[in-house]
Amino acid sequence: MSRFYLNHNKENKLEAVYSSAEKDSVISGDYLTSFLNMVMKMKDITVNVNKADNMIVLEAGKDKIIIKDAKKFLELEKDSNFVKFLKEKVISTPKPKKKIKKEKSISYKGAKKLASFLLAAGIVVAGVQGIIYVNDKLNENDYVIEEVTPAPTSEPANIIIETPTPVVTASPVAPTVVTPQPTPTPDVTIDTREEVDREVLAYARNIGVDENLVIKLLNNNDQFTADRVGFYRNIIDFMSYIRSEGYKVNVYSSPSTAAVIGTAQNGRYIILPAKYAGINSIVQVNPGRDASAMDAYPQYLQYANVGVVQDYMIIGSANHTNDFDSNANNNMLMKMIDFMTKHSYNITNVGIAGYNDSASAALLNAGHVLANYPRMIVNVGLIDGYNIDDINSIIDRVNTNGDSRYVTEARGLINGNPQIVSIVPTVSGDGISVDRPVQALNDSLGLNERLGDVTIVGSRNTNRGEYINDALNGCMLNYLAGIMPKERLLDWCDSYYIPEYSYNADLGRFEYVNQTPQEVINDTITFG
Amino acid sequence: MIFKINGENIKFLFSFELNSVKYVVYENEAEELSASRLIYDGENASLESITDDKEWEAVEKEIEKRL
Repeated sequence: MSRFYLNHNKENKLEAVYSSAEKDSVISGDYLTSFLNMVMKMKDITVNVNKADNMIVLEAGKDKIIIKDAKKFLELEKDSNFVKFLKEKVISTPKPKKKIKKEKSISYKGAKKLASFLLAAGIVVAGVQGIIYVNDKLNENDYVIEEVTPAPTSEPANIIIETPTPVVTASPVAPTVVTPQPTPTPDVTIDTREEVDREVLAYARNIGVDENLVIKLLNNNDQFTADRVGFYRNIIDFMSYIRSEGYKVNVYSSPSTAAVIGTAQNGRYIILPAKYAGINSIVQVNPGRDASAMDAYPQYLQYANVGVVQDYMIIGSANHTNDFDSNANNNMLMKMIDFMTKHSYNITNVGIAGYNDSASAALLNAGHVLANYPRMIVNVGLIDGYNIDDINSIIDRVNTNGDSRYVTEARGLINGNPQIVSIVPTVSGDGISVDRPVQALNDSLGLNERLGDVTIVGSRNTNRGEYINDALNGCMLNYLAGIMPKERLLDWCDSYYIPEYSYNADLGRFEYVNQTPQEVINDTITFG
Repeated sequence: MIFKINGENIKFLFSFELNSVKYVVYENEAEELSASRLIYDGENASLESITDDKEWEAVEKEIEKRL
């Protein structure tokens, strides 16, 4: 748990003190403004006023912000946005418990339309004959049925949930074809969520995946979709696979994310199957690192509003090294692509985005996909960091254990292979421009391409800053996928360089780092 | 997911089975939760309101468990 004390110093200037066992760190000035802005953006933060002790306590997850002299604070900061925020929060918290009302129990003489809807929502699982087109989005997660068309009786039940097509702007080469993914038909007809859960658990048991993790996964998913069994089988297969590779598997819950996370020695991989099932769990694979190192992950993803992305999104610390194949991150990333393509994930196109130094690694990973799956459509987005010459030079240097195919393919991508949709090299023109992320992203925004079924994001691999970068990558892809509005993306980027938590490998825990942005940047641009 | 029933937007949350009867739980526009019996014959689906106090008590308990 992290504790911050927010109070006025002797000069009546507001400051936050991060208290740790070793020492206290003071946050003030612009950092404090950024810090408070971040706090105000936190979801699920609660504000409790303790009048007797003259204290206000804000809680978000494991973090606490304590205002000791609440009276003085409110008086001196009365015109600030933060006090306005506190007032709003106090009024709105605690959240009133929703009432369950018998008199609101409704009757509805239904028809096929209702049956089909309930089926689509996973509330009924059975073979309704019909094709449901859901294409009128009320808001983020809500749909209304527009039309129900009877299917030919000779064909099996076929449900297609068609999502709104993201905006795709003109592409310099071939535009991405967006194919709605048909919902897999469950191979077991099951009527209730309990039965589905039992089926999923039995499957996990059979292949030896820890049932407790699966229970956690199931309990964190409020959605009950028609393909729940198939969906979880995929997840369990993946967990099993990761475990067979010698990684530990964990489950994390998070209110807004849906992810399977795997970490290699110093990287991580995330699969977001959000569109599939709206699952609210993160499966974390965490080898060689203290489990607490990943505690902040859901939190960061939450800040970044990485929610619904695509069928699957992989964020991988693909990093360029001279020995590309033996690098744990690259190796694992390629293995994951192999696994997913070979195990009924129904992937026909892959989106790979490389940010900064991972641009070349993203290209090589793309090359790997093309070399092994020549019919796969690969979309590549390279953001920032290197120009094409630099990338070429890195590709020249890598050792691929004698398999030069993906180097050739990567070169093909650079040289205009029609499978590539977009390359965004070098925003800054002077190499790394992580000090101008807003500019970099802003410049990239002109390249609004829908990435593939699978999106792979390269990320850096140093301890410090990596979470922010993954979250930033997630933001970027959300934008590219047409989900995150530009304003939200830039808004998030504005708070990018707030002093962040950083994992201290020596101490084995997260610490609050009060550094200048430049220091953070310097620490985060270590390559290899 | 939202469905317009009797002119009101109803957000379906989840379903469960109790004593061999299927129930669906939903939220109305006033964010009040309620539940109905779900009658589904493989083709058409109907909702039946729960009027029996004893049945409601059991349903309410089940909903509480799941929230």
